[in-house]
Amino acid sequence: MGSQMISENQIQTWLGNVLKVGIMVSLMLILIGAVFFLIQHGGESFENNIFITTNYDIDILKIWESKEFFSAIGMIELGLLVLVLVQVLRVGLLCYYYTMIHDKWFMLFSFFIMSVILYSLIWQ
Amino acid sequence: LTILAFSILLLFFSFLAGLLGSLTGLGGGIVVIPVLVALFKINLHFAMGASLICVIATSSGAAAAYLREGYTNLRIGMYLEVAAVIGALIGALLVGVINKDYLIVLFSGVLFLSAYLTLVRHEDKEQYRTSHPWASKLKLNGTYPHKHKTEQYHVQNAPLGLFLMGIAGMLSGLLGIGSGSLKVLAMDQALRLPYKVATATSNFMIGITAATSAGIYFNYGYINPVITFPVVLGVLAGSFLGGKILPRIHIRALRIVFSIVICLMAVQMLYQNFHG
Repeated sequence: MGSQMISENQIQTWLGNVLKVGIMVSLMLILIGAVFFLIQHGGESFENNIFITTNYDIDILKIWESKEFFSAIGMIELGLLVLVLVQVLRVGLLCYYYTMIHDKWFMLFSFFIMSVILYSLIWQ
Repeated sequence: LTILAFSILLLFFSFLAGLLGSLTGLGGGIVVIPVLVALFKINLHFAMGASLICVIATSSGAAAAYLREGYTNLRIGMYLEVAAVIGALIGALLVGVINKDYLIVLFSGVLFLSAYLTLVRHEDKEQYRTSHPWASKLKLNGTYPHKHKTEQYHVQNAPLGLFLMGIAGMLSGLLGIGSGSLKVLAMDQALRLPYKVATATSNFMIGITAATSAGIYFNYGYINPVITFPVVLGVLAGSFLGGKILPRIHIRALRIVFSIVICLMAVQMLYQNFHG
């Protein structure tokens, strides 16, 4: 850990901040979407309601194009997605850190982990 | 029952599940699944999807808090996560082809095992002076704050840890849980880490493992936003409160009672599935 480089303590602080901000943003989106959804559909009967029985297969790559995107449900979906992307971001941050300190093994580990998460997100 | 009433009930019971999950040390995800299935008759796959999202949210929150305290070992976390993400990917892909009956049986087994593990855990163990060769090569050994000074720990059996973490990851993907108890078991029993380091590092890892499964779950359509939003908000609030009051609760009996309640719900879920 050279003095010109980022220290492990610093990276821990960054990771903590990424997590905190990420959860905040995600919860905000989910909360706003939830309020709008309940205003629009809260009065409907819950029995066999289409919203509860539907299989929402969310395609990350096409989420912007889906007809639900600009709806309350779309807002909740986006919030859930942010939560997952925050995890990619923190592995990415570690990958960057290990590259900076020239730690080959851990650069490889973090890159591999990030690739597996990204693969699972685009898997069809 | 209207959607609004359903959401409020779901929020309330998820809050209780998050609180109990945090107080028993079982985790919010594993507790909320029987609540959703046994109480609300929600489709198992949707319950697993909602639980998985809760797992990401609660472990991210806890990880952020732990990172400040200096217990998390990032290197051990990333090393073990290599196996955990592979396990999670395989587990999540298998969910689409495995019969729900098997999943329910497997879930109950893992829940009973986790409850047993949180009850028998013992925190003090012998100190090792040497470490496994992989641990030295990958610089996995570390220090942690203990009784106002910094103490060193030496990592044991690194390959076994990797193997157990692969299994924990697979169960996480198969069942939509964080499998925190199993992760802690692997770090506690195989790597021989101090208990606090094992819990903090496990929390750091859980969100990453769960994110891998979540990608597949999104595609299978198991993550239903309407069911998930009350569940994630409730579980997160419950776990947060649980974390606040946990240091003040030392009664082991309470933990045992809560764990029994949760296991009974799993029995109810089993019964409902095979006789209901």
